[in-house]
Amino acid sequence: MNPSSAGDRSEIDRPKLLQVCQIHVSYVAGVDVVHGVSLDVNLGEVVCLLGRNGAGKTTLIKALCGLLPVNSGQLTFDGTSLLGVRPAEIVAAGIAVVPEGRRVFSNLTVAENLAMGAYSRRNGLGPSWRFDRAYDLFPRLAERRTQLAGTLSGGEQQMLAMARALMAQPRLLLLDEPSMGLAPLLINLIFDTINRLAMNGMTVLLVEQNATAALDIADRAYVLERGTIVKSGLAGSLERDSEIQRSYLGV
Amino acid sequence: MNFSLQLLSGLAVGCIYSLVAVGFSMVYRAMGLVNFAQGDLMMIGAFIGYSIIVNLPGLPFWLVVPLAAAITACLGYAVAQSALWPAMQRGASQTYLVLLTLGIGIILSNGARLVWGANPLVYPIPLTHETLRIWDYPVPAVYPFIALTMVALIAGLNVLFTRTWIGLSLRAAADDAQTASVMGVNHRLASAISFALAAGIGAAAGVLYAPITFVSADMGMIGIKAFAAAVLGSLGSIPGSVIGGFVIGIGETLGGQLVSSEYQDSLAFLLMIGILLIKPTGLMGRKG
Amino acid sequence: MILTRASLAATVLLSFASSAMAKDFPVGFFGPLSGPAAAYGSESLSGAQFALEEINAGYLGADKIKLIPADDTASPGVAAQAVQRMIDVDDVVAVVGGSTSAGTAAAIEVTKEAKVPQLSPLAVDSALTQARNPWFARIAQSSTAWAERTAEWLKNNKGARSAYLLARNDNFGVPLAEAFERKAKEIGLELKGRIAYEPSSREFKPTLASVASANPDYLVLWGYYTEAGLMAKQMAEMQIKLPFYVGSAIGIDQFRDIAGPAAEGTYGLLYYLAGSIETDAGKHFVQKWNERYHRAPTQYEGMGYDAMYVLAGAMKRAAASGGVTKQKIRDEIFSTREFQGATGPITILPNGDAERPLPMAELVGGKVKLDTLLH
Repeated sequence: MNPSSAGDRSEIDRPKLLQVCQIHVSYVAGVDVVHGVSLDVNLGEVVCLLGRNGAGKTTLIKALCGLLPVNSGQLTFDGTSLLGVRPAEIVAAGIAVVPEGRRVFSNLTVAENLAMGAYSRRNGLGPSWRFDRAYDLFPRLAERRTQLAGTLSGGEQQMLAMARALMAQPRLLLLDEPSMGLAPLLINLIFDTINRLAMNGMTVLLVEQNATAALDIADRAYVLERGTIVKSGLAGSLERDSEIQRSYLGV
Repeated sequence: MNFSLQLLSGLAVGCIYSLVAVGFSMVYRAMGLVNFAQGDLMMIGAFIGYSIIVNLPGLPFWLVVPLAAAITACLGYAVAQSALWPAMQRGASQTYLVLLTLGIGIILSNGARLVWGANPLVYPIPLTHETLRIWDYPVPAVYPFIALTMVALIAGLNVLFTRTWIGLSLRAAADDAQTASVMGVNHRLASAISFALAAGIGAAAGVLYAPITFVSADMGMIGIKAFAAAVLGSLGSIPGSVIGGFVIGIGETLGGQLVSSEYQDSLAFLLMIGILLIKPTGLMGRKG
Repeated sequence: MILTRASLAATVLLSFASSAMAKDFPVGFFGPLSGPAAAYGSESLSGAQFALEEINAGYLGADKIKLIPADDTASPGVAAQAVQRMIDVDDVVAVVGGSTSAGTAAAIEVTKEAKVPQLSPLAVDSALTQARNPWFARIAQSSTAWAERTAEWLKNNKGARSAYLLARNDNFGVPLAEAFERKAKEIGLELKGRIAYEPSSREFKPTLASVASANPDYLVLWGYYTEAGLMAKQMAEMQIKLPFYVGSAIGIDQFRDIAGPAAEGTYGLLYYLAGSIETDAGKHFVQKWNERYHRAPTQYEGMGYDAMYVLAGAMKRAAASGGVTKQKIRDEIFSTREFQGATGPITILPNGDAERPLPMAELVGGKVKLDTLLH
């Protein structure tokens, strides 16, 4: 991975696709897990959100796809507020998620999982949607299209979860810990794929604990601790930050 | 001759158990709850079938079945939306939900008593008492209806669940409701539709069972055997429920004759316990 | 002043005279008037009320009976409460009821305590007259009598050599089956088998297959009409042709609905069958009932009618021999001999059981026809 090419993509004057402004999110009323987080994702950028377990990363992702209500603050996608918008409308607006732990539909076949990814675009189409692009991206899935997703390996399930999210033809792809529990070789494959998608213009918000790999492909990064952003900046500069190196890069 | 007659009647009753068991499994998959009102929805379906026959005399029986199923499905939809979903939303425990479905069952059977009276009702159609001769075997005229409806329903469910968006989304929501909702599936709607479908299938079973026996408010008791069938086949598996229904239907009739007919009713549960001892996840259950 | 006193005296005298001339005796009635067993209670009540119209038109002279009905919903607890209330509040001189064995059993405890005569039109459980309540009598035969009469009829009237016995496995079916079996042994009627089936059963084909392979002369069932209907239907489906005794189910419409054409030719013992009693009282009742309702009375209506008359007869005799007290009514009920009732001549035995003809009937052409009147 060439860091300079990542730097090339991060033009400051790109239009803001996702704007998160001072949001508070909680599971239980009164106990905010995310308090006062602000972040932006510009069109075509790969933005990385670093943080340890329990920092509030997944909570933030859930709020972004409408699974958790935002208690206060602003949330806009492409200039439209996402506050109080239901998950179905959010995915239709162009935000797709690769959830933490992959969460493929294990009793559905690979092809059916992919079809479910396109559920928000189902108008006028049958579930036998054309899956060519997904299979081009991950040829392994093509071989297993009739297999139940529950029988796939962890890496294959991660591929499926990504391909499924892409079936929604999103403008913003949210990835929640895609490298979790995978072998190094597969982690490389997943991050290569994210990079390829970014090269083709996909906007990505990547939540990761694996800071090395994530910062490698990201344009910018935020660091989340105990529900607030404690640091942000260009990926390259954070990579050189001594505190980050100590806490997240294991240097 | 006698043996094949017994087998046939075991198959017919097995079909009824299967259909109600499929309802148990569908609701279990979609909502994660054991719906003990399933048998009572079947009973309501049978009563609605009675009212259709009485009010629309001359309507062919093969139309009574889907009509009663559709009306009962609407009732099931209303029950799911008004009672079950709010309770699930508030995070009610399994125990509470099971009690809730038991309560709904009691309300349904008392309601049926109020609407249709306490006396058993018999479908006033020739089908109830007609016997066909197939290869010189006397076959109750309703058996072919049961067989055809069974085949049509299983084929229809198969198409629904694998070839349509709605079926696919129901299965996805049953698998992982949260992820499905991120894909755009309305979980509440999917749950209610699954519940309604299960009610409709149960109603079809009730209408088909009625000519074999009669309709009464305590007809929902059959739900307990159907539940045993669903558990035996592995609760949540639709093929398992179908097989479980047949195992119990045939086991009861043949076992009742071979062992002792005095314990015929306990056989269903003996079969269930026996199979679960050998295979704890049920016939169609996966390991782990 | 004198005028006032005179008018007061006159008033007292008048009221005394009128009360001496005509009294209203409160009598309680209880039975299920709602719920699944409503037919037993409401039909025997309408029979009792029909009798009451005749009784209050001069049978007791100027005296009248005021009937106080209560619905026990076939629940023992409700029955006991209802009877307690009619004794405490309405001060009834006697109670007619109940119509189910369970409700009657509960009420017996109350009437025994309060020393109020109780006369049941329908309760058959043999245990009821073994409860040592000297205040309880009934005009229905005990279940033991039903079973014994049936066994004798099979042997003596039908020439049966063997029977197969099916019984509902509960406290209704099992005692009947046991009484039948005892009598069958005594008179030499062979039992080819006996099966007690679960009350929730609806599939009797395995059972019926066992019956068919034993090849008895008769199949005898002690169960509910729903089971009787299903058995008749399933026998027809299996093409088993066997004379079938179904008990009192034969008089119930739903039995015929469930069994369909298979009900034809079944036998059953009834409390009462309109038209089977050739006495004046028997004919009178059917004729009057027909004039009013344009149909024949049912068995429960007949029994309600007779229960009311047996009580009124006891009250009439009590009035003639001193006074209508609870004790006297009780004594006269127990001294009932060959009372000419609509359902036949009724004699109350010292233990409170009754002797009365029982009609054995057969379904012929969809109608209940008398086979034999059993004594």
